[in-house]
Amino acid sequence: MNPDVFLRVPLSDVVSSMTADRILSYAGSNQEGSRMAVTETTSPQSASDSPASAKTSQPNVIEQLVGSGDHTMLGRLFIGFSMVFLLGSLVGRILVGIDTGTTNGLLGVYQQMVTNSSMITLIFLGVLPLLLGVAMVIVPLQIGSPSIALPRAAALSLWGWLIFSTVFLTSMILDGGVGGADTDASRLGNVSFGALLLALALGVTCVGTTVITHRPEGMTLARVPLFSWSILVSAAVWVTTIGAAIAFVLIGHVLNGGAADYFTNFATNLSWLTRGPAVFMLGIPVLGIASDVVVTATQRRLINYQAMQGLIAGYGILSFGAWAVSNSVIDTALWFLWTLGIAVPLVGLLGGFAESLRQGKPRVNAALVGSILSLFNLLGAVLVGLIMSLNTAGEGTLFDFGTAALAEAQMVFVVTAGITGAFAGLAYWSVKIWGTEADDKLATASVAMLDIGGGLLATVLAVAVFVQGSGDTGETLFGWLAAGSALVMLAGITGGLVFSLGSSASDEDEDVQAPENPFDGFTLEWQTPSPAMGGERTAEIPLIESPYPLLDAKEGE
Amino acid sequence: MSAEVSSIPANEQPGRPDVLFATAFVSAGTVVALLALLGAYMAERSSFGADWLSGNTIPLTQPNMQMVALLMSVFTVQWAVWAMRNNDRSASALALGITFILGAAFINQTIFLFKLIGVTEAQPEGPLFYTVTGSHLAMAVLGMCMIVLIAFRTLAGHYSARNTSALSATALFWDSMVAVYAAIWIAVYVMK
Repeated sequence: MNPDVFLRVPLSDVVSSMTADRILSYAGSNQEGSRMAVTETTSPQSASDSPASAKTSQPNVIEQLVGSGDHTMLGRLFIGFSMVFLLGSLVGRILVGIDTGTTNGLLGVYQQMVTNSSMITLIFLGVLPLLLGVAMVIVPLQIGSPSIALPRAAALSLWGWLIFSTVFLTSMILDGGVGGADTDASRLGNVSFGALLLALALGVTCVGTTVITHRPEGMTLARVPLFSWSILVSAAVWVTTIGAAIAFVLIGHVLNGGAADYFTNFATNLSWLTRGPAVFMLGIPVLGIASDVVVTATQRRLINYQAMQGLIAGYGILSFGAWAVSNSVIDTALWFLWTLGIAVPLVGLLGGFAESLRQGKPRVNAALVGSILSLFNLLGAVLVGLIMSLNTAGEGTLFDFGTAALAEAQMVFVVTAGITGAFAGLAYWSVKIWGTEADDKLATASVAMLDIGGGLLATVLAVAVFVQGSGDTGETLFGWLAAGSALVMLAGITGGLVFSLGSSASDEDEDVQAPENPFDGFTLEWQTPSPAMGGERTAEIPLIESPYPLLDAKEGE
Repeated sequence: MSAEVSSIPANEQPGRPDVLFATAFVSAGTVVALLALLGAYMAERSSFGADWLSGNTIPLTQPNMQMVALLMSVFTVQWAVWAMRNNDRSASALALGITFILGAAFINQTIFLFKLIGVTEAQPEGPLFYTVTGSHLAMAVLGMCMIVLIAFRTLAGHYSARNTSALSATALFWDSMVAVYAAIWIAVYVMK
């Protein structure tokens, strides 16, 4: 058996139930890129695999799953599994809401564990890997690279994340996770949390390195498409943030206390991951997705491209949150300055997009709606941050309660932005990721429901803090409202899963030819087959003289 | 899918080595992790007050010598890269060997220092002290493993003046390790 053959066959073929003949046509072609994706060799090798030999050595599904270094397949798996975990996390959030509504009548002693663990799973098993998956599929295509940098490390990242996520969920079942009562299970949860963070850092390192090293001639960093640029910024921020988080996971492990000590370590040393500034790091790729979607929707170049890059980089720098580990930082002037500072790039980007949309007569679709809504969610999170900082401005006397309690509302806003932005990306690049165009009505409905649910949940959580802080409880009402809002979010995510699966399943019809560039996009990913596969292009990369090489080529005709 | 699918190779890419930039990301993450540990150590020491490590004596001779050894290794590891860029394989291997010896001296000195100070796990300072210094020790050991690997590959002729990225990546990681030690040297040993 030629091992190269099964390593080069992308999972997309398996996922979309394509015929064996079609698989062979890819395996038999000389794919320098796919070979690079697996072996990292630079010397091209002639295509000696005849169709007949390929047929005899055709791998089974498991071999293809585990053995591939194709970035498109790895990205699709990241997306698929993270969406499943997102659903699970939201079910956890709904249970917490119902439990609050029934005055701890549902979860009992597990309330603390489910509340804290579902926050962690929402971010690190859901949103962050979902965005990483989209990046893993799209970034190499977008910069014209035949493969991702360090493909074996990317594969290790996926499988490591998946395995340790499963271990983390297992620890939750055993009353560990974060905030559980069982010491051994809590230790397991702590270790698996650190390991899955490490796996995510490895994955984003691969994608970030791809942006730096795999650009073709002419594509300077100033000409990198904005989604890829945002992923480069994300890589820098995510890797360093995760580095700091792993340090505190290690401290929790070394202190080696009981279950309560693990929770204390999380509450004092790791809860900063679930509030500003760190949680805002989930918004960095969203800015890139929105930028690319707006350009395509308006069919216009973004004005002040480098300024847009600067705003995304500025947002990224401000979302580095390891300096704000202690909750007491919220009552400092630095927090106040930070909340003002992070509003600047967001408002600047929104202004740039608004100008483009005003001038460009945009085609409204799910991707555009999702992109804009995700930016408004980020603004909502900034607004919550500003409210938190008011206490400092009022010399700590403005509210009767600690404003740190508002952090969960801030997190929900950012998480909603992250999922909505990712769904916008999934709808926009649907032909590349899944093989056919997404059902626009379903996709629009999904992002709208997600946004409404997330916005409501965040608002309910914020209002509850104020009402309960001023003496009224209303705990039951707010619990049910939170559960209802999370249910609407769940419906939105289910819609996203359905439109993604629908886009993939409809590829079974061999007569359906997915368009290569349905939105008239200007960047290099639109020069690849649909669905995309590592190393395959449908045209030579044109001369790159701007961030929009396909538009340049079009204008030159 | 589109009918005309082919495997048109990408434009020739300028030589930007994956391993060097990936190592830069990894080094950045590792440095932040160790600085976060150091921050936690300092915060704990600050809240503990004057009694922090009051039952132990932290000498400065060993930490100073460790710092000197690591500073010397910064020069030797860069010498290895420079020599390879000049196609001087034997000088590069020699430089890597000296770097390894300096690293080994650092580890030897660290273990000696641990025994000298005598901090125990039972002390409240113990876990954090060993987490910070031990994590850095692990980073140094990892750097030495990289140096051994690179040295063997250098001797085997894997690198040349046009292919020094793995050497540069190793040097980058090593330099990061030394920078972290500089912070530990000041925060843990000098400031005590």
